[in-house]
Amino acid sequence: MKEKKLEAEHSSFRFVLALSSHSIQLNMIKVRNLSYTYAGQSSPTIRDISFQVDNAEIFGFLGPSGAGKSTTQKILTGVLKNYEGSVVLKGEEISKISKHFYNNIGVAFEFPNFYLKFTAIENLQLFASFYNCEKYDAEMLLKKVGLWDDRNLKVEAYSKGMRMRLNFIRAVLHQPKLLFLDEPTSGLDPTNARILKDFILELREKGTTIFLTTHNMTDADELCDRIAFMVEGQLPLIDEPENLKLKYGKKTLKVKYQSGESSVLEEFDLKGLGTNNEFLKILDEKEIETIHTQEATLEDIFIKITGKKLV
Amino acid sequence: MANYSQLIKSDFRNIGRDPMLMMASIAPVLLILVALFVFTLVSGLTEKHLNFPLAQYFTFGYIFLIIIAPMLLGMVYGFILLDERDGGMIGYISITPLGKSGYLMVRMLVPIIFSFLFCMMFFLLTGFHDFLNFLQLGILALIIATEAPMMLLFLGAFAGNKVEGIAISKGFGILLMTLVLDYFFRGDWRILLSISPLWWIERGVMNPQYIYPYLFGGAIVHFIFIFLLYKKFIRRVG
Repeated sequence: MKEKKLEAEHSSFRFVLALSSHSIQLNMIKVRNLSYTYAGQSSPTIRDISFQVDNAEIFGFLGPSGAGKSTTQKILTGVLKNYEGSVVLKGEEISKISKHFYNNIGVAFEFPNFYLKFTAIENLQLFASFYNCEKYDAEMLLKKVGLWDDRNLKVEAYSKGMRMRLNFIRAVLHQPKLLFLDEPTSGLDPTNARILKDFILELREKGTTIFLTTHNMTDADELCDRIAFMVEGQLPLIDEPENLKLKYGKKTLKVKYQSGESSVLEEFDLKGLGTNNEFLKILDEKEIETIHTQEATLEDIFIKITGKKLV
Repeated sequence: MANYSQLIKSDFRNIGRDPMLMMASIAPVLLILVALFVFTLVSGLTEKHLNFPLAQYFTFGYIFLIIIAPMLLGMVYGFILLDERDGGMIGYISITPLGKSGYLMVRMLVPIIFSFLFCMMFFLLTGFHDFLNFLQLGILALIIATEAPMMLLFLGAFAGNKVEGIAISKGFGILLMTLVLDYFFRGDWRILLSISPLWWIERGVMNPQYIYPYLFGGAIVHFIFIFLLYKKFIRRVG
């Protein structure tokens, strides 16, 4: 009887252990009460922020210039160490990690820096040599972002868009578990931006966690599972883009239809729309040009939350 | 070691694609040629026409030349470092497994190794082994070789860009004056020159019976210089 009780206690203990290890594995990034003050400054740049990023999640980090996004990213990548609070990456406090931990992290800064006198392939070979882990084939990556034909061109001859694509593949070259991207589609034409965005989604499918800092609301909307708005060092809002759009939008629908020679625009409340005779009559009798629900765009939310317009 | 070999290889590539760095890298070989042939030639001419052989100054001349070589190599790697610092490469490398410390180790060790090999070759070709044993030569070569990271860190810590780097490396050459002042002048004031790392090398070679105390003092002064410059450089790159 006593043995059975002990066994039951053990099994519940194992269950609790399994649960806790599962929850640890779910969070790739766990930030608690993070504050940071630069030397010589009296007020903190980052003020008591807390958030977590799950495994294989794309987490968007939005906010106006000077809000503290770059500082947060520098703390998360271990560049700035004297912070207050806790920053745990893959179960390890970032201020205590060894150099080898960087095999797990890839970073693509907004302004790409390369050895300009080296070709693209020479740059990739050099940076790949800094990592002691399994890597993607550079040829495959260069072909994927359309740089294979220019692989032997010196980077100084690359356009901004080409450098951004090279910047991106350098960050993913060593198959990082956690990828930090800062404005990854900046300077790219729509076709190449699409290629990169598809690649980002593909990486997420393979299990990579992505921390995306951007001003580009289309990118944030398309890519992010959740987004956080940073304002003056604080995070007043973290949610899924869809929830935010609904929460901050008007619960109405706008219909534009032909009436005689001109177009007419009418707005209807979503509540009871299916039984709204006026609306149903328009659908039935008029030639509809457009129908749009009035959920907020991320840009509207950005302006509302941050009080600043996007540049 | 695989991490470092690619970086070392890329340095050669960098040097090969920059005519100024290429020239500065080849210059130490020219210094050996000057020591071996030009000295003898000029000495022969002065002896013949002025009845003034220069052979008695050869050892001092050799020391002068031998110290220039690590300075040149330090300048070459210093310019690479300036490019990397200004291009944000050091910041990027600091978030890779190589790290800032691994990177700086390569940057400082490679010119030390090349300078050491150069010094040993120079010693053997110019007959230093006639008055110093191999242990003494080895220690001396090692201390002289640390002029390279001193120059490199000096550039990294004080030069805002490559143009400033050229001016600063010339300024660093002023240290060579301490050798001239110590060798050609007399007086107790010369002890003040001991603040220069080069003074200890010259004194040691010119007074081989006291080589070990001078090597010891030289090692300490070099270490202090490198430590202070390293601190200054790290503060600069954040």
